[in-house]
Amino acid sequence: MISWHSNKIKSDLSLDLYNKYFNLKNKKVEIILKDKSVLTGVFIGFFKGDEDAHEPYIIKWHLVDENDIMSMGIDIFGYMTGKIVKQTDIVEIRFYDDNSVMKF
Amino acid sequence: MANGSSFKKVTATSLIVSLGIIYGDIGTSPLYVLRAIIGERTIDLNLVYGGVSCIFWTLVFQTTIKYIWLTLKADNDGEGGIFSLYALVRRYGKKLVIPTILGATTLLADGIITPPITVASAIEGLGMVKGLENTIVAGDSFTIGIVIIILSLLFFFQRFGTQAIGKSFGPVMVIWFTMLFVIGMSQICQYPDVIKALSPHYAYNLLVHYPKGFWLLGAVFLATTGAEALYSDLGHCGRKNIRITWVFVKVCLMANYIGQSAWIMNQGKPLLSGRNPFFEMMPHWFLIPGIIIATAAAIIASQALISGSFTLIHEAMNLNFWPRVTVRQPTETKGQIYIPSVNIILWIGCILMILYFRSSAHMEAAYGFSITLAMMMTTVLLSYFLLYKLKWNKYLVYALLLLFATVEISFFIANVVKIKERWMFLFFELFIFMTMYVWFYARKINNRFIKFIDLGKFVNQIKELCEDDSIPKFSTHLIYLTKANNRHEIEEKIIKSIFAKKPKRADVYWFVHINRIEKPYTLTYDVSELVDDKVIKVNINVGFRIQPRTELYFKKIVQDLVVNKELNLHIRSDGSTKYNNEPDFKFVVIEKFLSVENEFTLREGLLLNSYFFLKRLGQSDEKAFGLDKSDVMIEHVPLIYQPAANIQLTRCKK
Repeated sequence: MISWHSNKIKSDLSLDLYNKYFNLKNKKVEIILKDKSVLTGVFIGFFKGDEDAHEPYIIKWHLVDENDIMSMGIDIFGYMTGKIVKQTDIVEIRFYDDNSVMKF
Repeated sequence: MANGSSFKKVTATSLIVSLGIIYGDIGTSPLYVLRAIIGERTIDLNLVYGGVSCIFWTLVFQTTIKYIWLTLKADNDGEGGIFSLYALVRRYGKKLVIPTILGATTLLADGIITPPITVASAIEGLGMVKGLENTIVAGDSFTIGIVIIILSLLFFFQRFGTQAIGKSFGPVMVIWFTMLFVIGMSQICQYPDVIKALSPHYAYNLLVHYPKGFWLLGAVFLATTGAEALYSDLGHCGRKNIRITWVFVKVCLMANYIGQSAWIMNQGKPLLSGRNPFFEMMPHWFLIPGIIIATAAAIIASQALISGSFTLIHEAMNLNFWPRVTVRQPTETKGQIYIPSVNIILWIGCILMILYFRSSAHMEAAYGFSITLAMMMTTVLLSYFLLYKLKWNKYLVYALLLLFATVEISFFIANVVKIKERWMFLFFELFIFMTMYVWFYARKINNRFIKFIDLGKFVNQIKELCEDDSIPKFSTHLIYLTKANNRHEIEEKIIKSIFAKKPKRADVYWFVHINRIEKPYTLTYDVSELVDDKVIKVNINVGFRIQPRTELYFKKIVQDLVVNKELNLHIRSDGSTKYNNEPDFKFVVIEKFLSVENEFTLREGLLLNSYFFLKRLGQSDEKAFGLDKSDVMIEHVPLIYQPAANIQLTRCKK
């Protein structure tokens, strides 16, 4: 069944995060997820949403330890290191660079 | 065929050319529609007048109001057709992809029955010529052979384009429509009372009171099957040309339909017994020229369907609904394309159709179902267009939607009975639908798992690599195709390709993004230098009707940058040396494959496996991006979509 889609433009918080994050000097962040777990590290990559499906600009982030910032996020056998974090699971993010907090 | 922009103005020439391009399908319907309505039924006033009245009001609602007035408003930078309409409204509903695929599928299915039914109807008319009564018999092998030869020649000549012969299409169609009008009027003048058949109460009586009258809508619908083509050809002719010529076409068509009904009512026999009123009402001396003109019109109608199918698949490819296949441009005319694989599929399909059905009368029983579905899907997309793009009052849009839904669902129900005659079409339609569905959704899954990284983070490393003489030089210009549209982004796999194993040292690293955009013929680019003369990102905007020729565009961009002194290399500008003139460009294309590491859900597994299977059948990436003449290196990387997580691996105890 096709639903009549509302053409209202919603602000994309993932895009706000993206724009802020890649302009930071200190990339270290602390993330609080929906399940209350707290993660720290740096984002080294991201997965984009589907524009046609009205998804946010970024749907997932790749978070690794801050020492691995220049890595590709893979080990010597090609397996992923760190953690993939869904944008929708993030409740709060604190930026070490300016100690600011972004809430979702 | 001409391009859209050259037909903005209305001139006598543009009107004649429009007649040749657009009206082949709808214009040749009088060859078989009234015969299909009457069939083996006893001729009476309710049936004949009711049939003509239904045809007239169908042409009013379905063709004039829906297509000529409303749908032609939905032009995408001058272009029409279901994919153009989808490109206009896709942001307003993510599930609009399904009606688009269904509409395109059924339009293509129409492409394998319109040529045989039209050509067969024309050729069967020869059976009325004195001396040929026993030679040309509908359904016999000789007649089928002639139809197969005409169709085969038509498909064979597609590779040469229709530029030369296309010039005659317009004048031939003028002759055809004039013939329809004159022959029809000759009957109307003898029996002017027949004009009252246009009254809607005859249509009402036929549908409501005539025994099983509602089901005759399946035959009535054949009068408007070409309406979808009006919209598909918008880009070739322009809205004004289509609207003006439609007045002439509709008058000629109705004169002929009414003329046929006058002949049927006054020919004195209770049954048609297989006779075709279209040819029967011609004066005997005119029969051979009439059949020749009808055959020419039938060929033009078939040509329109074939060209339309090429355009449809080309658009589907560019909007990521169809695997990349070879597309040729047989002439310099913009928009005229030839797709060998589609040509073969259509040719085989048409031959199988004529061999299976054997006569046009049998094909009529199967014809129409596909196009009702296509029209219903266009109605869905059109209502989005009216509501969100034109911002019409929603109650007006709902009212129009209700009107067309009633008309089209009635036609659909009346056509459903044809399924038993056309079951073999379902395989063809299923194949087309699944190809589009798999390609579209598997690409979506693929794209979801492309990891992007911040290119800025690696810029210093790239600079270091450029200057590291200990590493052998891989190329002067190293070019990667990227899906990253933002200047600071790049796929992780590209950075891996540069640095992993043996690093690829180059003087200049180019990251080229081909941005397929909704405006059909756009071709623009922008450049951002992330490191002066070392790391350059190029964004090329290519309209969805243009076949990308990356190598050509890239070289033009390099030339522009050198001429404008924006690219200042300490080598010869194009990377050539004093020993040869060939520029040293190397493209790296990264191809994904399904690795055994993956674990999928059933749907995703089926989609991705089918996608990679189709990809192997289709055109290679280097050809698809127009890089087949270049120095291209293909790198294969696994698509790790869902790696196996729990592995129970236990070490054996000694």
